[in-house]
Amino acid sequence: MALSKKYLTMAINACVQKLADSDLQIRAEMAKTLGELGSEEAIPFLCQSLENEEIKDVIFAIMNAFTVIHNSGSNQPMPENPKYNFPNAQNIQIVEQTDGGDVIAHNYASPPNLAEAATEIQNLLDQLAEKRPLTPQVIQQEIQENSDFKTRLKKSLAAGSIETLKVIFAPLGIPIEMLKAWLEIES
Amino acid sequence: MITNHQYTQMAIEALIDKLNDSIPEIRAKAAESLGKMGDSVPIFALINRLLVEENQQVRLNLIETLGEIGNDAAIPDLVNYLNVEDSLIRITTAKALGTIGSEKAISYLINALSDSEASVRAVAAQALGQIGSEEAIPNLIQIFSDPDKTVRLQVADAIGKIGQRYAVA
Repeated sequence: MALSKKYLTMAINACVQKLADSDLQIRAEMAKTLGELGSEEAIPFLCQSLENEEIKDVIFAIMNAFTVIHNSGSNQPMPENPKYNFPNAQNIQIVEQTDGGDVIAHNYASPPNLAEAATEIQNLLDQLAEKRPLTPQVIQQEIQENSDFKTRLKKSLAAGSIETLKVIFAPLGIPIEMLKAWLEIES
Repeated sequence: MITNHQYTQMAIEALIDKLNDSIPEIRAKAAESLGKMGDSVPIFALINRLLVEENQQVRLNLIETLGEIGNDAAIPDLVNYLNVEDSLIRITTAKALGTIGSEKAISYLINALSDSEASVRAVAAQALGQIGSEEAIPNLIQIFSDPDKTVRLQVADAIGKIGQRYAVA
């Protein structure tokens, strides 16, 4: 039997926050747990962690989580409200072979309105910065109080511009996982 | 099963990225994991890595994963690994060709029936049984008198499998 949506979301959010823990054992365990929860909703967070992770055992745990989720039959999320929707995505696959013999393969989903969304978010942040200094707390509060701001961020995330949001929010001391968690918890 | 194709793609992309990690163990694990992500894994990413990969374990995992994905477009590249010096690679390749199960691999596996290594001959026979095409029978019968018992047993088993397949059809 599948977990109820409420508890599943709760559990995923809790584990996702700890995916960035300073203790590698905790990180590995969170990846394992997200795998066991079996919800594909955890995949974007796991991808994010995999990108930043340097410890082999944690990397293995994340990779295992992918395959466990992929082959798990339960706890798939509710199709009526997909959190990540890529309406305009086109998959572009680029394979480069460098002189060193390394092959680099990338898949990019590139929505056409990506740059536009980034500019919009930057403008909103600039406006906010005129009123208050941009600390993580101020931004979290703004997400809670300003539904327009939240919606735009969500749209941008849904459009696949994770990289762009990372570039915008990382210098403010907000890892993308945290931003996603804020957006999710408030929904 | 993952229902949202976009999530699957995300995980697959992340794993493909790690095929080029500087640490062989991580490449090996990424290759292995891709074998469990279903048939939408792009085989060219695996083949491209295989062509430049020098670590044995990573090569083995890449070959095995190409088998699990089961796309017969991998066959022209895979068959080259039936002729490498490392017999473990030859065994794993024959096994992968059997798993793919396409008749396109038959002539190559028939050649592998005369491999110098008994374990390669045995796995080649097994793979021919999995593919299940009757045209392999004359070649299988030829090595019924193989000096290695495992090979003889696999040959018998393969012929039986082929027979069963035709009996049902």
